Amino acid sequence: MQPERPALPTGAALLLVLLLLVAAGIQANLAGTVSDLTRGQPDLILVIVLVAALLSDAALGCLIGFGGGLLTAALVGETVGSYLVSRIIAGFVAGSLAGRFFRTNALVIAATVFLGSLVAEAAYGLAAPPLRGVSLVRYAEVVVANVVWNTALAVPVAYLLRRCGWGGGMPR
Amino acid sequence: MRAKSRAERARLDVLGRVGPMRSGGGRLRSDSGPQASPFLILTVVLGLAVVLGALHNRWVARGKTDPALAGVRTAVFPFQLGAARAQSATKTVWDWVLPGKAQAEENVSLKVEIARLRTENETLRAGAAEAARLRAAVGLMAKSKTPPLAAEVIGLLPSPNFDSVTVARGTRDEVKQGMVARTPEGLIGQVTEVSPVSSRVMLLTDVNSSVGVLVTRKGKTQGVGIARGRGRGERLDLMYLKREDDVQAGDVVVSSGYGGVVPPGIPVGVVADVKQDSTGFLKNARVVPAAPLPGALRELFIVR
Repeated sequence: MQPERPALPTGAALLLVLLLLVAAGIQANLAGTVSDLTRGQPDLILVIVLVAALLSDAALGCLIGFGGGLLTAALVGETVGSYLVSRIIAGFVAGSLAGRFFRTNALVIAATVFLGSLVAEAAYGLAAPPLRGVSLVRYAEVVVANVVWNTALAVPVAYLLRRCGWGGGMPR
Repeated sequence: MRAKSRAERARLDVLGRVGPMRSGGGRLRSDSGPQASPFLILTVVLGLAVVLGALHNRWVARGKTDPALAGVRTAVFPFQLGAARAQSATKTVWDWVLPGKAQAEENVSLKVEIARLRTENETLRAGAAEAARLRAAVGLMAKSKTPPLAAEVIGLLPSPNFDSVTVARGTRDEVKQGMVARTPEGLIGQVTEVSPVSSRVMLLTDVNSSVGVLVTRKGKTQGVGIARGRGRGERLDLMYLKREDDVQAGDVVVSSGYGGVVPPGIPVGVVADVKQDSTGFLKNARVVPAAPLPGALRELFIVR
């Protein structure tokens, strides 16, 4: 017999959607102010995508990445396909790591978000290279600052997701 | 076979063989039946993404609204508006709790600003009266203009490539693509995408933005050029000035209106420095935008 493989709870899925929408609202307002001070900004949507993917699997990670990419693209309004593709790949990578590590470990969560953010930025950079006139140094500064911000937010977001019933216990 | 104990479930979970547990580090799976290959799902979802991206480009090229993005924007709108209001309320409370020096300084600067605006207002009234007299004299009808529409900024998502803000006005407020956004200080940008409840305004500093401008000093035109964005936090590039144009730091840059999109006379910025073009035939300058930084931008006006 096959081991039991329970379906994704509808409540947890709806909560994830709600969290993504709230994150989009916050990000659109607060992140701009943050970036005035620190060059880069946290990508709350991407952090939620990566953590939720880590707590599920690669297939679901793709779908969560698609949703996150669509939200980000709607906020920015440019390079829609690039945002979608980069977030889907990042979700897939984070989801592929599920089952290989102890997902309740805070370090694993932070490392996954760090890696996933780099993958997302690299995929986006390849799909939509910096436009002519954009300083590459500034571009790199923003990318590094974004990744650091995302990593810093990984554990609190994981805690929140688990409180919402996404995955199991709290990060240790 | 059903895992019998919590310890065994945890062991199986680490090996990636069971689904979620109530606690202790479980994970969620996409379904309970036979699993489709993750790579197959990845391929399908990536294909969908590429199709959506291509459709978006096609819609935008035709000047139409992307229905998928418009739907998502409408769903996000209440959350954006809520976050904007919460941020504004927090700032108000913060300013109220911590009055002190900052408020005193603000009072002084506001008094100075009021005095300056009163003087300017008188000058403009006199000018308007004279213009009306002249119009009547040549038999021209004064154009009736719809008053500009105030719009609350509810989102700002700068990226190294793009610089834009989202405002809480959309097609239901008769906002259209191509309309100009400004503040009392000067030009902000142009509406590039509209959904029913919100719109995206591309800022002057966006690398895709360019606007025809005049360089003026004491009301006299010193040169004609194009102001282009260089990304967030950067100054504007003022290009195509003639070699003989007498342009100096401190000159005021206003929109020329030659393109027919941006009305003439809207302040764009102030010239920071001027240098000769590499060809020697032209001059370039850098311009500090007149309008506030996007982070400080809470409201703007859409010129209809």
